Amino acid sequence: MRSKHINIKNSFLAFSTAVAVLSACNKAPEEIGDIPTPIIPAGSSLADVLRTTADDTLFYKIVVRGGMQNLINDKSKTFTVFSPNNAAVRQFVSGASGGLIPPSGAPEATYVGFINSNLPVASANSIANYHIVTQNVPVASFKSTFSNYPYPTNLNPSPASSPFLRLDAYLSRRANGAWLNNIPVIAPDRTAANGSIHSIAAVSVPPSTLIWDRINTDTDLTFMKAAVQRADSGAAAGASLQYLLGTQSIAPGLNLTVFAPTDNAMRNLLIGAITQALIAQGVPPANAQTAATGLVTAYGTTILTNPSSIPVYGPALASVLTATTVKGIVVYHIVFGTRAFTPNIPTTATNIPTMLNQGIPVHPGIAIAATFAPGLPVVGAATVKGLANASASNVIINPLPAGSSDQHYVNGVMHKIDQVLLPQ
Amino acid sequence: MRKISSYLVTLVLANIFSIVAFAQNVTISGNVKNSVSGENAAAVSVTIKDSEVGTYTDDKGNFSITSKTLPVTLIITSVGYDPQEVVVSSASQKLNISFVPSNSLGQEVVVAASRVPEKILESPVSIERVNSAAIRQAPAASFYDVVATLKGVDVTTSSLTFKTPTTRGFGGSGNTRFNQLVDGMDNQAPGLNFSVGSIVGLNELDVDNLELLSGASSALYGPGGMNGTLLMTSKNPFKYQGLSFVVKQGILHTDGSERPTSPYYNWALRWGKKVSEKFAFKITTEFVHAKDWVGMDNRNYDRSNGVLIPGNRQTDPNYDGVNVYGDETSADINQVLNGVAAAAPFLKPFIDSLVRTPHPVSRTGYTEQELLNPNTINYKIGGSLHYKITPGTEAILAGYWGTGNTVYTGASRYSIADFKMGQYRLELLNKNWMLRAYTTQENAGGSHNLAATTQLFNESWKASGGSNGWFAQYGQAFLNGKLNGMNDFDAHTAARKVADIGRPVLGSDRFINSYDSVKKLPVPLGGALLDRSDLYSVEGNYNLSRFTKSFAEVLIGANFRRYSLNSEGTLFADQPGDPITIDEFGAFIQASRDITSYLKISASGRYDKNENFEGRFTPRLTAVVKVAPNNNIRLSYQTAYRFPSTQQQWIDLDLNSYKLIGGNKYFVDKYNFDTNPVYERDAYQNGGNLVQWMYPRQKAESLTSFEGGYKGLLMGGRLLIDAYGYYGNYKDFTGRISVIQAKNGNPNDLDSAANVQIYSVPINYANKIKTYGFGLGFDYRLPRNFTAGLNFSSDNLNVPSGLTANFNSPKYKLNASIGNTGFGYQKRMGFNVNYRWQDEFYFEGDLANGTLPAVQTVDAQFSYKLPKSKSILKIGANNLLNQYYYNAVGNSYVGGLYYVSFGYNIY
Repeated sequence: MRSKHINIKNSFLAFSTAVAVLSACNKAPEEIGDIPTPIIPAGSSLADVLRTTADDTLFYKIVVRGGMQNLINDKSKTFTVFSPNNAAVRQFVSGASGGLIPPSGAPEATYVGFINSNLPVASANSIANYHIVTQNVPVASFKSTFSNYPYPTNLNPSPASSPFLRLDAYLSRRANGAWLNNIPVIAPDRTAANGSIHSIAAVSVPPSTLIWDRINTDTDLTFMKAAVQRADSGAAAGASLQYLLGTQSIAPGLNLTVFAPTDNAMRNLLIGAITQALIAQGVPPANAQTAATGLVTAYGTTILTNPSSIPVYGPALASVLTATTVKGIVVYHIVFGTRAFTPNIPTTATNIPTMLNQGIPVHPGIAIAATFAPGLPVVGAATVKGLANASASNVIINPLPAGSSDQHYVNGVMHKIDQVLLPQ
Repeated sequence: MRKISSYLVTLVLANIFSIVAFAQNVTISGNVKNSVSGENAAAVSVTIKDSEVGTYTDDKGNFSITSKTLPVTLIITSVGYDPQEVVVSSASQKLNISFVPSNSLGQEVVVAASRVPEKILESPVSIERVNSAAIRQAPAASFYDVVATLKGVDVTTSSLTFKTPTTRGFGGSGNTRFNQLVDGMDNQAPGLNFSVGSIVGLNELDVDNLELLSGASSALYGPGGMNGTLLMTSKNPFKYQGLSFVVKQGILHTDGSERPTSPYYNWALRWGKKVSEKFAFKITTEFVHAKDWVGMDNRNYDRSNGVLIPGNRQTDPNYDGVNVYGDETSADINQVLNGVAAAAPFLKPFIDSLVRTPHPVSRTGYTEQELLNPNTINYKIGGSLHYKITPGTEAILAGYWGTGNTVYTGASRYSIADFKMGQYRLELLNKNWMLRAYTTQENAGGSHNLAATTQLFNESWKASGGSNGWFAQYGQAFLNGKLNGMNDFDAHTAARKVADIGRPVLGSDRFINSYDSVKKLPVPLGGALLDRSDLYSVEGNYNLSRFTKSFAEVLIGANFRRYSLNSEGTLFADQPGDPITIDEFGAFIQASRDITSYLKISASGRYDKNENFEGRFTPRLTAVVKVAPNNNIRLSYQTAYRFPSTQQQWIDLDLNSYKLIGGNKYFVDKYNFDTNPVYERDAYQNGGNLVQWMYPRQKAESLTSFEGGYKGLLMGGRLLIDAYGYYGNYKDFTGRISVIQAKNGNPNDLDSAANVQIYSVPINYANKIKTYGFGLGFDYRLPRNFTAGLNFSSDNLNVPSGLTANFNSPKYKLNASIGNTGFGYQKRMGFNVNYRWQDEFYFEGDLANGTLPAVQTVDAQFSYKLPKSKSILKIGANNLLNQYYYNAVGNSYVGGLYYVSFGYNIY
């Protein structure tokens, strides 16, 4: 009797135990695959690399002066830093010091001291931010065809207006090099944990003014200015070329390339045109040339701004130099939507559309061509040819500062040229 | 035909009005006791042999019965006892009957299998029966859970009180291929289309028996019931008398993983009273209250492809959690980025580089755990009045009404809040015929769709669209992050933080007020379903056997049903004040005959017509071969069919991302399918093919089923074996297909997501869908009142690849149990342990698809009887080991429920 009880109890226990063992494993829902998590990359940050690389030390001082070292030290964020090498920064310091400090040869402490004490913090901050592109862009990703590709930098010229406002860095590469704007990359693709560093040959100073600011004030572009004003006569303010070239609020990202004929080029055009007109009216060529030169010398830009006010020739000039004609010529000098620095210009003549194509879509545009200095990632010569020009005009290549080519503004780049481009 | 019907009417009337003349009445009274335990035996049937006169013992075992003459023979019968005959020649003395309990298996009588009483061993089709004694001993907190332990049954648990059983596949919440009948009334909610057996209907004290017919049963029970029918029969107050109650107190959430440990209350009461030999009544009520189980599947779901995918809210900006709501609203923020690029050209190149890949982003949702009212309440009240017009004819007026909060899984999770449903029945019952009229009155109360409600709630605090909408804010903040060198992950995180500024804090007054107001607004402005749909049904049958005995036993019957769909346009295509009606009628005839002493065959046929569908004839043929005494082989050929559910015909629900519509031709006009065609979405997505969807006439789905089985007693009656195998072939299987329509009428513009209107429409699959399976069960009576049971079953689907049938049944499942009905001191103790295992399978549902892991659970109870008061103390556990499981993707995770109960006057 007793043993039976025990047996039953035992079998119940065995059953329960078996059940317990079997039952101890209902599965919770299994995650599907691995949950991806962002991995903070290991290794040195961009800031670390700059700080510890000998040829970046001066630029790093600018970064620190501008208070941006923490940003590029944050390995959860990814950047591309364009780091001017120490020679470039020395050159910059020399310029910023008004030449008080030589572009090279002074003790390192002099340059460091200038950056730490004399370079305004705001300037240092702008410069540093302008060298930081907010994504990782290896050189292989730079645009290899005309013209370049804009990447936002960390420089917001007016945070109060919009958090999205950024000045762009225009990155390009060709067989013979890579560029930030027109500045050659001299040591590409130095990697850090949170991005890339490209050493560059010069400090890229952020633009703060507009193309019109230059045209409006450049004593060698008075005819260009007059032509723009003439072209704008009768135009609504918002539709004028001055608005396009000179309005801060629309400037970032406008990406204009302006080929600006010098006063001399404009005078030559006017003299030639007036001479031919006079000859056509029966004036002997020699007299016509003298008269035309005299007119242009005597009345200068008035010929463009108010031709009808000129005695004797007024009505004839006004009938030829209509606002529409002048505008047609001016817009033929403006490339819209492209910020072409000289290294971006193709080495074989290539036609590109201008703003004239907005009115005449089929127009072949202008032909541009550049020639690099032998063995250097720097353009030695460049030309632009209008459809009706007998010869190409030259981009006047000259060195910094107050230069004439690759003049960088918030709304575009300007190159001075030595002939007026004629669309027809 | 007319002649026959008038003949029938005469018969019926004759039975109602024939009054038995009592010339010289003698009253015999007595008491019945269990011969072993000495307990009073209640609800024991006492009838006078060869008459219609009968009664039952009351809760003290007493009876009295009136006879015209003496001597008479009394027949004493009850489930679990050996029948006994007592000859009474004098009424002067009180009879004391010692009633001998039977420990033999397979002696129960079932009704459901052939609509006439027969021994379960001789049933021509697979049937399982659970009597009140089994419910009393079951290790289950609710009688409804006992069904899960039966052979071949799958139960889908949507929440604590919302369980949906099914057999032979196609499980899921609100399964429309499995009928549940309570005292003959279909208890499917006529509008919401789910059976509410666990929330409206019987309480455990009032359950006389459950009969489960696995497999096709339309030939007997009408449309529906393709996969099975569960018949729940309540206790008649003439038979079961007295006051009974059960107080069950428990705890659940003991590990605190879903909610803090919380109490479980389940109180039930039944009072049955036989006022006289002619009149009896009963009142039943039940109250359940607990903190509900919660859907905790926060895995990421790709709704357009119907698969679970990696990622969570932190890692996937377009995360859409299975049990997370509000995150269904998704948009590509490239739209925003492109807008910024247009307004700020200097960013265009940068943005162009970002928008090369899509950036789908979803709104921040709330988890079910955060949203759902944790209180599940269920209150049922019911009662009936019984009047014996003649000793053989009983009139019954009965009502069941229930209300409560529970959770249901459909295309979304639905909070069934303040749901109310009543079923009211008037029945005339004679042993030869039955006439029944009933109605189901549904009121969806404050039921609402969690996804839609939460999506609209999100819109209420910050609109998704617009220049300063959530997505605009998100897109701009994302852009800002990218402009500041952030990686995508951080930029998305930062963007979500910005866009979620102002998101109501969970539990704050602002959250509660706002959420409540949205959930009360009817669809599509809010999440509420204003369903007030009703069902009216009249049915009757007549057993002609006493006239046809020489030839065969013949049973005939007919029924009429009217659905009245009233949702004020929030669920169906009805208009306020103008419900949609659907009429159905049907009739059947069944004949059975003992060909020889070892072969019984029966044939039945049924014809049904629904006003929206062609009429259907469904035959059934069965044979039972007695291979040895108490050993039978059964064979059956059955057809079953079901008219599409009311929702499959008339639903018209705008779920924001798509419109869920019915198959009625009405929708062709409503949505201009004639003039602005719709195309199959799959074909368009996989290769851009425009395959026009012609909106064919909707058909009733049908099933042809063959079944063979064996049921027999072996080992001297101590071992009951039941085995079956079946094969089913579905035709015109009803599923759904997504079709697309160009909002602007031009199919060439379907490329643009904004121009696409998606509809989900019912489809009858052209392919045949085959199911097959088997089951094997053993019940063994061990010595000393020990019992052991084991059942094992398999269900399989054979379906063309690429076709979603929502079969949702594991290939294999198993139940094993061991118990004792009386041991120890005066055999007062009892216990029962049930182990259940089901295999892993791939679940397909409207809410989500995914692999369901194998599930194992153990339920157990230990009881102690107090014979004097007929009381039982019980301690029990559902899911004893608190191993959380879920049996549908997106359904609640069910953990352990532990309870003690005190039951008074339980029989």
